[in-house]
Amino acid sequence: MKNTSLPSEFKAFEKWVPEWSIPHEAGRFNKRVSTPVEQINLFVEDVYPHMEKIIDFLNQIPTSDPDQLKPPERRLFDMALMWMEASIPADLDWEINDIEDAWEPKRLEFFNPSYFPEPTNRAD
Amino acid sequence: MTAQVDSLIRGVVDDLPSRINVGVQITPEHYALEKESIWRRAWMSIGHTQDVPNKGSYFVYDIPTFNYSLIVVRGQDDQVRVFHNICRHRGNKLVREPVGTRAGFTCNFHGWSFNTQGDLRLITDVNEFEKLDKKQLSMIPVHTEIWNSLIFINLAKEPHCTLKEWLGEMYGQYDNYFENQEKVASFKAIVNTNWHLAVNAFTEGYHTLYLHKSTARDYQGGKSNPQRHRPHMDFFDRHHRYSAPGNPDKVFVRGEKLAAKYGKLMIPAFDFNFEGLPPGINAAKHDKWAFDVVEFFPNIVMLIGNYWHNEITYWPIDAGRTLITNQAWAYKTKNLGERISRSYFRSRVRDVFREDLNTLEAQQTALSSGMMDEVILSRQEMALRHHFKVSRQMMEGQL
Repeated sequence: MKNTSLPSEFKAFEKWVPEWSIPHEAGRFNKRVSTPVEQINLFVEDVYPHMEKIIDFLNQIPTSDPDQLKPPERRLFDMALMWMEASIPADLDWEINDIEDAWEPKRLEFFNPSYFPEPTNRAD
Repeated sequence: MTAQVDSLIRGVVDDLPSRINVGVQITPEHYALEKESIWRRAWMSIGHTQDVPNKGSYFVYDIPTFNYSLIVVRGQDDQVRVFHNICRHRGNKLVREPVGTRAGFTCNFHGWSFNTQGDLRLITDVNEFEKLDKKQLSMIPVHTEIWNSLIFINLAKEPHCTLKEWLGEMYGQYDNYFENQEKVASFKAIVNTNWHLAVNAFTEGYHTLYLHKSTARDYQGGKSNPQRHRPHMDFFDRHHRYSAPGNPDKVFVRGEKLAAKYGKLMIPAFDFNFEGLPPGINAAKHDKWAFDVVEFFPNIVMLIGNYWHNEITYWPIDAGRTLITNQAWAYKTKNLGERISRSYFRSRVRDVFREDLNTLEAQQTALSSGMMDEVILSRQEMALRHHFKVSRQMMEGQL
């Protein structure tokens, strides 16, 4: 079974980890545009009151490189990034998970942010 | 009375027609002429020196316009060079791994080997060949010049001008800007549209009030500039740029507030700070400056902000298809909070970009159907008028 543990003070959010802690930009984008907005908003509203606490916690770790994080910290970081992606429909008053008149997600090809495989550039 | 802002326009615009017969310019016949008169002759950026950080770092760059595969490599002498990705023996593709770091390149067909400076170092079973001069069989170089970390190439046999001449007045105006950012996102799409339409979609601000009403509703303009007129536009011989007006009354949503607390503001939220930027950026020093849009004719449109910039690259595949790549760059982060903040703006811009892409195939279909003779361009779309003038002048050999 996939390990879903988070740093102990964020244990209450482990229920979101299997679906909402995703390590790459493309994965998080695809999660948003393939999930009904009602489900997205359950995650967004549950986590939102704790986002500052989560970011403050991550900010105390002396690195800006997600690949240096321990697995529970990394899952928390990925979940925070997912919140940033998932908050968009609710914040912008969309009734669905994506804008209607936009380039189809499946026709957008993500590739490595940098041409050279630097882990720090791949991670978030 | 409605508030109105008049755009300050610098450069020659009297001769720019407001009606353009775009239908003619997107035909296969026209494109066939453009390939040689524009794309063969222009200086075009294909990446940054940061993409090849170490001696031996390389990446492969494909240019569908000419069916070229190129290798960009930093040699052992620290110089960045560009070569055709071709083995000089039988024309096999020399490198197939898209990125990496190597001491040299060895063809997998018959083992011929080149160093990172492009010199042929080894011909296997050399005595079976007749009179070979290795010096004549180096990797085929591409004319290359570096400008502020951008790697420009020219695909002509001999470039008709230097990169400095090509960039004109902009040449000295962007020092120490690009070097301080890192790449944070890359995505691409093959769009069934002509390259002119693809470039034009990103070089006017008129559309933002309407097309982006759901994704970036109040990021520009505001009460003092409700029509979002560009405060300033510059038109040069080949290129142009304009500044976009930020909205001082923008209402921040939750994600923006969080991102603002933990990192620097990036598009679509602005702090109007332009202190310390080089003179080409916010060139008219507009006090509510959001970002600049710069067209480096013909293949790059950049959105240039204070802590970020986006590079949209265009390569025609044929008259009706264009490869469009968007690469986002941003300030280097000191902590994870900044990374989370940065990622938020990256997500927001992606949706805006997808809206821009989505107009292109419809326009292509309509304008190639012959049902409409001309497109009509406002003063706020002056950059499109200029784009077509530059295209024409290049085709006539004037530029």
